[in-house]
Amino acid sequence: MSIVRWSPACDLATFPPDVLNIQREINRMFNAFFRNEPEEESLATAAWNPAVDITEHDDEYVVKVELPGVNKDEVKIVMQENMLTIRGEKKQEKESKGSNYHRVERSYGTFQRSFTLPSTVKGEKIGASFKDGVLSISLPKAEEAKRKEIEVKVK
Amino acid sequence: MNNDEVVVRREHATQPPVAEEQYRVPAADVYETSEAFVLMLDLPGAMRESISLTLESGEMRVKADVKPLHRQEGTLLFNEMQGAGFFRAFSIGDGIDTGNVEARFEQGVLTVKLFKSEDVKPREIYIN
Repeated sequence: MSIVRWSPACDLATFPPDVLNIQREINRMFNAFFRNEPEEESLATAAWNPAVDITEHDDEYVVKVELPGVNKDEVKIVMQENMLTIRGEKKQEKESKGSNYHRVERSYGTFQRSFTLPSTVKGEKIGASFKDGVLSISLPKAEEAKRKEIEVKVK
Repeated sequence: MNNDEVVVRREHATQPPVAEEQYRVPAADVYETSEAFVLMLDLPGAMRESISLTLESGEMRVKADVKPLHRQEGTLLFNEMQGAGFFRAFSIGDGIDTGNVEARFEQGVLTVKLFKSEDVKPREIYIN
């Protein structure tokens, strides 16, 4: 006899459908497909892919990764030439082992994302902070890559 | 979508998503122990002060706002994160002691423990 009757329709009815998100996802998939990137054979198999945002400022790149519930020590950030790799593992909480699961939607296990940035960065000055499940990596651009204003005098 | 390596190019810069009143649905794990029902919700980037958890008429609602993702003046080169806040409602049946709910927010995960009311907890019945 179940104590809480789980009805799939029940909580579906009480939030707005995020149709817009599906639209955005499809747009993104189309854009990625038509970019003519050579498909690389994936040597590493990851269980899940965290969402990433990359912004460019005049003097640095900022990479944000959504890693809720991941321990700081379980994340490894590696920079090789222009390629940034973030990998790690999200472990299942000990206290929940052996419990009766009604629903599992969150992702667990290993993750890995790699990005080749448009220009070179100062490897030794890369900084990272992790707050409330969002990892923020700041990558200062190498001197020659910074956008500088050069005034050109017309004779 | 499993790109193992993504080449990020400036010409693919996009507009950031408009958050405003849109909400996204946080992923939730629900499990049951002999003492309680436990819900774990992924709320990455949520502002602790903005998290609201209400229990009313058999429904539990979770709502949270997120911090603005990026500094205004940057160019968004790669965008997967949604700037929207979180909202989700769960129906809670009988058997929950609504006065006994614990919640904590750590590393972007909201853990809610709904303790079962005494009469529904498993009880050993001894046979004479």
